[in-house]
Amino acid sequence: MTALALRDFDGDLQALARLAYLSWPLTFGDATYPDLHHPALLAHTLAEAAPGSLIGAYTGAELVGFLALLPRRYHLGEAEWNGVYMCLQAAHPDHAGVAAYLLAEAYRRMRPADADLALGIAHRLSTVPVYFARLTQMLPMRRLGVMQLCVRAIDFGQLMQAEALPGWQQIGLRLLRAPRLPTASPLHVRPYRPADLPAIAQHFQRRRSPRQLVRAYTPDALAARLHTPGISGTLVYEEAGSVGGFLNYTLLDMLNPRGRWPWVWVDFLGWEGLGLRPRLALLDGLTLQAQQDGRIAIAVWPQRPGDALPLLLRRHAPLPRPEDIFALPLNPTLSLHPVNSVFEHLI
Amino acid sequence: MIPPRPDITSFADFQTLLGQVLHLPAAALTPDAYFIADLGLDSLRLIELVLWFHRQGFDSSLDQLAAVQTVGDAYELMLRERAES
Repeated sequence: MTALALRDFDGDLQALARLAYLSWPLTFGDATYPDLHHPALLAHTLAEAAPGSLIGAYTGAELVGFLALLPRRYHLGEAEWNGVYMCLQAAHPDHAGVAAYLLAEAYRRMRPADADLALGIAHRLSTVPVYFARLTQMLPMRRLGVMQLCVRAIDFGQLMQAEALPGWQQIGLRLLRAPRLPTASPLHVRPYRPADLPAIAQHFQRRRSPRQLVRAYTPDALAARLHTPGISGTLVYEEAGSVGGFLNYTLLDMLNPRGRWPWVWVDFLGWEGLGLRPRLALLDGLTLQAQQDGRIAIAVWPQRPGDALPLLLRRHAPLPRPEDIFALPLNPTLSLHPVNSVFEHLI
Repeated sequence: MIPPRPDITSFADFQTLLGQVLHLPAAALTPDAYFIADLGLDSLRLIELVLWFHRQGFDSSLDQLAAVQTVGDAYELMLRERAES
C-alpha cells in the first residue's frame, strides 16, 4: 500500500481542477460549486500564495488532497494581524480521511509561520463543520458567524434547472421574482477606474471595527481584486465626482452534475455611506451587466443588517446553503471573542 | 481535567484500546494497517483518534497526525510521547 505524502503542491492546476471535480459534489450535494477548470481564475485566486502555503496530498504522483493556506492581513479595531485563509480544500472520494491529514499539516505549518490566526469557511451541510466542532475540544477554534446566501434570479428558468431547490424555496423565489429587469444603466453608476483605488482603499480603512475582521489589502492585491478582466470587477457609485460606494464581484461558473452555470458572486458591498436609492442603483447596475453578460443569477453574502433592505427590494431571496465562518487564533494575545463577522473575499 | 492514561504495556493492549476508540475489531489493527487505505477511516474518525491522543495529555497530537498513517505509527507515537512526558 502506498503511503500518503503531504508536501508542497506541485502546481498542476489541471490535476487540482480534476480533484475538485471528484471531491466537491460530495461536499455540496445537489448545490452548485465553483468550476476550477479555469486556469485564469485559479491563478488569480492563488496569486497570493507564499512558498509552503499550498499543500498537496499525494499517493505516488497522484494528487488526492489539496488545501490552500493563503497569507493575508486583517484589521481588528486598530490592530493589524497576520492571517492565513484556508480554502479550496479537496479530498479524493477514495481517500476520505485525507482532509484530516491536510488540516493537521496546515496546523503544523501555520504555528511556526508567524500567523496570528487562521480563517476558513465550511459548507454547513458538509461534515467539515462537524469535525471543526470536535476540534474545539483541543483547539481554541471559534465559529465567528454564519453567512446566508441571497440570490437574485436573472434567468429564473435556468436557475431552477441549476439548483435543485425544495418546493417551498422555488415558490419563494417565484414570488420574489422581479417583474422586469433594468433596461438602462442607472445614473451615477459606472465601472471601476484605476484612479478609484485610493478611495476604495480608504473605504476598507473606515470599515475597521473591534467586532469585524477586515481584510487589509496591499494596493496591488486590492487593484487585482477590484478589476481583473474576466475574473473580477467593481461598480462604483459616484457622488460629487468621488467614490460614494462600490460593489465588488467575481464572475464564476458554477458546476453540478446537471451542468455549468454562469453566475456573478458579490464579494464586497462597500456602501455604508450611501442611502437606499444609490444602493438600489448599484444593484440595478450589476443586474443589467449580469443580464448583458448572460449570467443566470447574482449571489450576495449580506455582511451587515443594513444590507437586507436593498437586497430584498431588488428581489434577492435567501438560498438554503449557509456557510460557517471559523477562526483559529494562533497568537495567545489575540482575542476573537468580540468578532462576529468578516469583511473579506471568502472563497 | 485530563483522564488517567490507560495502562498500556504492550501492542496488544494498544490494539484493544484503539479498537474501542475507532469502533473497529482489534484484530484488524495490525501494525502495518493504514488508517485510510486499509481501515477506511474518514476525517471524522481520524479526528477522534487525534482527540483520544489529546485526552491522554499528549499536546502535540494534531501536529503529529501527518506522520501517523498506520496503526504502528500511532503506537510508536504513543510510546514516544510517554517517554517524553
